[in-house]
Amino acid sequence: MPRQEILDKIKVSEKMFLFKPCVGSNKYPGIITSAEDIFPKLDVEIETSEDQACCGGFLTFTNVAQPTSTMPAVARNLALAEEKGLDTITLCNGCYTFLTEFGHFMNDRPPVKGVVNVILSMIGREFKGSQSVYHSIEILYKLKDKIRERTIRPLEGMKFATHYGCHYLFAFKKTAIDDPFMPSVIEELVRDMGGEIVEYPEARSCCGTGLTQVILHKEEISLPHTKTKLDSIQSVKPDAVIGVCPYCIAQLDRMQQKFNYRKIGKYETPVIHITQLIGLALGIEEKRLGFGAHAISFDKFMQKFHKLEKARGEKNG
Amino acid sequence: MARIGVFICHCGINISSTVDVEKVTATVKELPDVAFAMDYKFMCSSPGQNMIRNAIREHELNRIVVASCSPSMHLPTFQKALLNEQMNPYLISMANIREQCSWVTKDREAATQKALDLVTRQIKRVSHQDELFDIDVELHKTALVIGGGIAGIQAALDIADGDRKVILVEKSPSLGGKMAQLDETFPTLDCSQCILTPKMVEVAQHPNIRIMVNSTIGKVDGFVGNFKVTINRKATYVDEDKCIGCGVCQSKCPSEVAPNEFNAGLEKRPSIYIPFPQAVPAVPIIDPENCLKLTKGTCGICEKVCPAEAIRYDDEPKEIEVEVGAIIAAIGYREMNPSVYTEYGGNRYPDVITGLQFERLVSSTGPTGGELIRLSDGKVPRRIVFVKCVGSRDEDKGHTYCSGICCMYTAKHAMLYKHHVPDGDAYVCYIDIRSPGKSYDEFVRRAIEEDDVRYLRGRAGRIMKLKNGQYRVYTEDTLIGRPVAIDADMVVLASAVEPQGDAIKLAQILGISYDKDGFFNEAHPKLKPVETATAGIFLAGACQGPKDIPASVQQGSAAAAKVLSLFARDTLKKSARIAMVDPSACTGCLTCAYVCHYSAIEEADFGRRKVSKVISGKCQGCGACVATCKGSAITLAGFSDDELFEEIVL
Repeated sequence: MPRQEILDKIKVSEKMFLFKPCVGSNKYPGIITSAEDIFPKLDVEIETSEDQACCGGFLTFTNVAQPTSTMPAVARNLALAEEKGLDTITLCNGCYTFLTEFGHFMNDRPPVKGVVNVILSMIGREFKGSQSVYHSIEILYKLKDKIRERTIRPLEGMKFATHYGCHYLFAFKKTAIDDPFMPSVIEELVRDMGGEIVEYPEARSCCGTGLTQVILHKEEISLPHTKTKLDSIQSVKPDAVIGVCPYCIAQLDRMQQKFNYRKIGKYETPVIHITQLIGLALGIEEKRLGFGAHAISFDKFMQKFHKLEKARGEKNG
Repeated sequence: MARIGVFICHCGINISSTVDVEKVTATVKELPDVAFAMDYKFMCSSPGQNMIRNAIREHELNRIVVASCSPSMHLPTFQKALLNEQMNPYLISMANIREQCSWVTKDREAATQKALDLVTRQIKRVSHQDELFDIDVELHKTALVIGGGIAGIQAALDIADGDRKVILVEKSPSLGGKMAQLDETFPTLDCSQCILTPKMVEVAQHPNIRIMVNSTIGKVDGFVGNFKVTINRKATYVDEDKCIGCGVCQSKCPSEVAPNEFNAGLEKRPSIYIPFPQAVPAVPIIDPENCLKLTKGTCGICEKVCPAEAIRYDDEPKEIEVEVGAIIAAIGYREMNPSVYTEYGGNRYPDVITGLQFERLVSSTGPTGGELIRLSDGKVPRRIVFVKCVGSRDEDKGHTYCSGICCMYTAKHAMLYKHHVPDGDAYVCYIDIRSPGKSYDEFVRRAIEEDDVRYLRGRAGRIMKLKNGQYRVYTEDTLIGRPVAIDADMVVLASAVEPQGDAIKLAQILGISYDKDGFFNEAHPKLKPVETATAGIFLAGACQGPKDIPASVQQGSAAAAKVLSLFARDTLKKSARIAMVDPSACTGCLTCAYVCHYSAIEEADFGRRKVSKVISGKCQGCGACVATCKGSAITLAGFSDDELFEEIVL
């Protein structure tokens, strides 16, 4: 159940800063391009910046940088939006976590902020802490009426499973827009676009990528977790899994390929970001959705979608 | 000429470890009017009191200062020493050099200086104190017991057996409380209703007890011995004098929509209903929110079928005023609604139920007639998981405290399940097992060893509904350090004990204090467990903190004993420290009457004009009127300007 008191605090502006996630840029460009396309269609003008760097999460996760030195990197990113006087939309749970957490950390601790600003002054920038950072799902949920009204390619007949990702709902237990154990915001959006939701038992489980275990640690910790999740998803046969975090999407998508390659099962459920799904429903050019970059093929998904669309078209004359 | 004796206490080492008591004694000895000064290890002990008495005689003392703990702790002790030497007990003053000095610092020098200050101020004050005389007040020897659960029933019976009148007020339509809802009780597994209902009947038949169900407390005025209480009785729409309790009305009522409160919401009940078969009194009540006659003006079946013509659709709420001498609050607890625990389904899974719902499910008077089945599909659960500490010991979503009873009732539930389904599996997820009580730990061992209940030490993280209708409980076994998942047919959440929803409102009406959670505060956590800080108001049962049946009964009896000892007197002594109006200075504006919380000021004639007058029996000595009076016409005995200035100005 969405939390009204949190929703009330979220401000959708006419123009917002879109923060591009690394995993989006280097693995799933469709997440970014679809976001760039859908927000203007929902009356939110989008600005991005060529100067933007990594959110800082990767640096902290992989221990290549201490938070004290990661902090200026975060502050610099936040300053980019501040200079334009815009609030930020993030597409990734990781970006959201680092920008909000470090932003609050610095705002609450003037000495830290002071040190960070000394470093930033060397490149002629300053972090003031004057702008807000929102997760894309928060803004999209606030825009849900417009999404419903402007859906021109409804998802009728398509079945979807959802995955929220721990670093949004669980990490922000008290401040996220929904309850971590019984969320429904993605479900509501999907239903608004005509899609059907299928529930699966492991919906609340982690995708398995937690703390980049696949990259840094032993994959025998991470992969069984992902397998349990994927098995549960397969059991309810959705046409696609909808996520809000590119990192989770990468894990759920690419590990299917890995399992298939290692012959420990046959997995073929496409995993996409909510912005891509909304992009599809709002009639964004299909190549801008970037489905081709996903490890698990969207061929079946799109075939079904086109077939249903065609059948509806014929029925309606 | 004041001859002051100063007595400085070490309080063991409580004071003397931080305050240089010898130095304080030596210094005050030199002060004017001080005829004698000494220090001693325990001034409150009987040798200590004898020292005061001897000094009064030997040094002809006429004012006493004791520097020790808080006067609320030991002033009466020292006043007794004065009385024994035929001295007026108001000629003493106490300096609190423990709570307000030695306990709150480690700095010996500063503490000694502060202690000296505090003692000096009392020495200066005490010479201005006058002899005062306590007031005798009549008392009403009737007690009011609020709450008809086991604690209230026990208290009412004990007072009534002591030949005093009792008014027993209960919010719901029947006595019995939570205990009436239980199936079997720990640690003996005897039937709860079988031991409770005889007591309920005894209450109903007792000549000294007046039962007022469907009633709440509206207003409380007055003070110990003389409370004036307004009781609000809601409209029940049934004439209790005519009703014969046959139950025809409820069997014919077509509007079964509201959740059955007695069965913890597991089924619906009619809109005219007797809450349960053994209810006392066995008189039904109409639920006006769901009755078709009262909401839509249709139906009216109960009136037609009632053989006693007892239905009164035009019944109205009543206010009843009673005068009582003492009040016992025994309003019990409520079970926490686990809806915030979304990880456990947040009330959305039909077979994830609370402890009280499980009690009703296994009870022979429950919705299934005592058959233990799943409410979703009517099947017997082959495996059941009990999750403890749901809402207890959880700062995040529940309460910080331990609910105290869940470890025992969960062991009992698991046992009951094994008795119903001997080849079923019962698991208990626990953080700790807390079973301190006579035969309690043995009871838990019996569940584990004889009934083969499997205890897993770990807190359940999540309950997931599976496609086959089962529930997967994710927990861990911290003793072997592994995560565990159990696929169960039913899950029982040991939901926390929490204060009744209207507890704080009642506390405010009664003028008693409550803790951060809403449980009523006792006057002293160890030494005054049934008293409140308000004289004449006592506590019993789980409204004071989570409690099981034996403890509730004990506290009910203890509160009754306190009431009976209060009622053993014919008059009550009331402190002489009350307000007095100087009529010659009073302008008769009566602002004082407006600010008085106790309605203790009335208008009186003084010559040809009206002035205010303090009703000495009602005045509580709070001083509000004194501070309000613009003409300085009111004085509080024992707190005159002289006394206070001497104390403030060093």
